[in-house]
Amino acid sequence: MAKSSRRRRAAKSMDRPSASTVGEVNPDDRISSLPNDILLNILDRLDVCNAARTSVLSRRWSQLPAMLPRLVISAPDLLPSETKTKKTNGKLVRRTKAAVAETLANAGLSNAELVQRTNAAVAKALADAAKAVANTAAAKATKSILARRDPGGCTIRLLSMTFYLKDDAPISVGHSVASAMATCKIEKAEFIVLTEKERLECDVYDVENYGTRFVSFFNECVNAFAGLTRLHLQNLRFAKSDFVSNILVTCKKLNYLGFLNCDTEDWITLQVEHAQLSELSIVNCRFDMVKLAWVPKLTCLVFEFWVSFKKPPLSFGHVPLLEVLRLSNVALNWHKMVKLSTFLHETSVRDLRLGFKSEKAGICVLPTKDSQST
Amino acid sequence: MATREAGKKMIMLKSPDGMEFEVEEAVAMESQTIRKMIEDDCADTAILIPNINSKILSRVIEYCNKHVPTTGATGAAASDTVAPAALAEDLKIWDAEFIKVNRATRFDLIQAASYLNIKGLLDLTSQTTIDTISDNSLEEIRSFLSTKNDYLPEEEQTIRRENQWAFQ
Repeated sequence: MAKSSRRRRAAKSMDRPSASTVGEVNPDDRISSLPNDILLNILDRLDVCNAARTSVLSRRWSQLPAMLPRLVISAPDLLPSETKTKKTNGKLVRRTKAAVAETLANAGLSNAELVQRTNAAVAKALADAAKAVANTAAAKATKSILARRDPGGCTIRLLSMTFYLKDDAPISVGHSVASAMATCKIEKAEFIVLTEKERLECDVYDVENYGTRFVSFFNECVNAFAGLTRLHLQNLRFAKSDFVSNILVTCKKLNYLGFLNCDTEDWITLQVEHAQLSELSIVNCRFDMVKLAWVPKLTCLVFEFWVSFKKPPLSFGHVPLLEVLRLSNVALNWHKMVKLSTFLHETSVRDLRLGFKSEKAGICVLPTKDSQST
Repeated sequence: MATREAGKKMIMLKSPDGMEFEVEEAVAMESQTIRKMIEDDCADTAILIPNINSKILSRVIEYCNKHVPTTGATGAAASDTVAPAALAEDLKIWDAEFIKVNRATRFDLIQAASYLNIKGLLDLTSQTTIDTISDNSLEEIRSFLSTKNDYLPEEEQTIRRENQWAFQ
C-alpha cells in the first residue's frame, strides 16, 4: 500500500514540462515552441551581442533577453574592428597626421622617425576612438536590456559591467544599474572600471586625471555603488585621502574589492572596517599602512608590491576568518626585515603564499598551522 | 527492486506511447531529474516519462549508457586499459556521430535533455543552435531555425533601433 501511494506521488512529480507561452506557432518553427527556460539556457551561452540580436527574429524572441539570468556587458568585447575604426575615422587620421607634422616640423627628425611617430600617434588616436565607441555601446546595451526588465520578474544572478572611465558612459551605466537595483532582485553586481591606458603606460598626471573622473562618477552614482558586490579599480590617484574610506563606507555590500595601482596624494593609513568583505586585493598600491581593523568575513587577502618604509605596511585587527594570504614584494634595501611568525601570530592563516625577490631572504617562518610558501 | 545481475539495480522507464526500457539505475541517474526522484525515494521500479516519445527516449538512454562513468559505483572497469584522454577523445567522436540527426529530432532532444536535466546532452544538443546564432546574419538564423518574422515593419524598425549597439 505504502509502495503504491509512493508510485502515485512519483507519477505526480513527473508532471508535464511547462507548456510554452506562445499562442500561434509556425509548425516548422520547432525552436520557438520550446519553453522559455530552454531558450534562455541557449541564449545564456551566447555573448550579449548575439543574444540581443535574436530579439529582432520575432516577437517571441524579443521577450527573452530581458529575462536572462546573467548579464555580462564588457566594453572591451564591444570594440569595433581596426579596419572599421579606420574606415569611419578618416578625418581623425588626417587631423592626427597634420598635428604630428606640425609639432615635429622643426624637431630635426629623420624621415623614418617621423613616419614612425606619426603612425604611433594615429594608432593611439584610433584606439581611443574605438574605446569611445565600445564604451557608448556598453552604456546603450546596459540601458536597453535593463530597461526592458520586468520589475519583480526573474532574479538577475549576475550583473557584470566592464567599461572605460571615459566620457558619459560610466554615469549612464551607473544610473541604469541603480534603477535596476531598485526594481529587480540582483544577486551579484560587479563593476570593473578600466582606464584607457594600461598600468605601465600611466604617468602621474594620468592617474590623477583618472582619479578625478572616478570621484565624480562615484558621487553621481552612489546608489549603484551601494548595491555592488564586487568592485575592481585600477590606475587611480585620489586627491582626498579619505576617499578610499568613503568607498568602503558607501559600498556596504561588497564581497570583493580590488585595487590595482591606486593611491592617494598623501600617503595615508587605510583603516579597513567592513562587514561583508571576504576578498581584498591590493596590488601595486602606495598606502603607508593598511590596517585590517574589523573585517569579520575576510577570508582572502592579496597584498603585493609595496614601497612603504615600514615592514609589510599591513596590520591585522579583527580578521577571524582570514585563511588565504598572498604576500609578495620586491624588497629594496630600505625595506625592513619581515618576521612572519610575529607578523601573523594572531591570525588563522592556513594557506600562505610568499613571493619575495631580493637578497633579503631573512624570512623567518614558524608555522603553527599548515602553511605553504612558494 | 528488479535485479538482473548481482549488484546492479535496474529501473524501468516508460514512454507515453507505451514502450518500456529497462536500464541500470546508474544510467538512469545521469538524468538529475530521475536521480532526485530515486534519492528522494519517490521512484519505484517504473517511471513514466511524459512528453518524450519512445524514439527520443531510446536515444537519450543510448547517450546516458555511453556517458555513465565506467568505473566507480557500477563496478565495470572498462577504462582500466584506456587512458582518460583517449577515452575523452573517443566520447567526443561518439558525440559528434550521435548528434548527426535532423533538426526536428535535435529540438526534441534539447527538450528531453532539459526536462530530464542531463547537462552533457543539453550542451551537446544546444551547441549547433548556439553556433548558428553566433555571428550569422539574421536571415541565416531565421532560415536555420525556421523562425517567422512576425513584426510589423515599424515594430521591427523600433526593435532594431533599440538593439543597434549589437549590430556594430
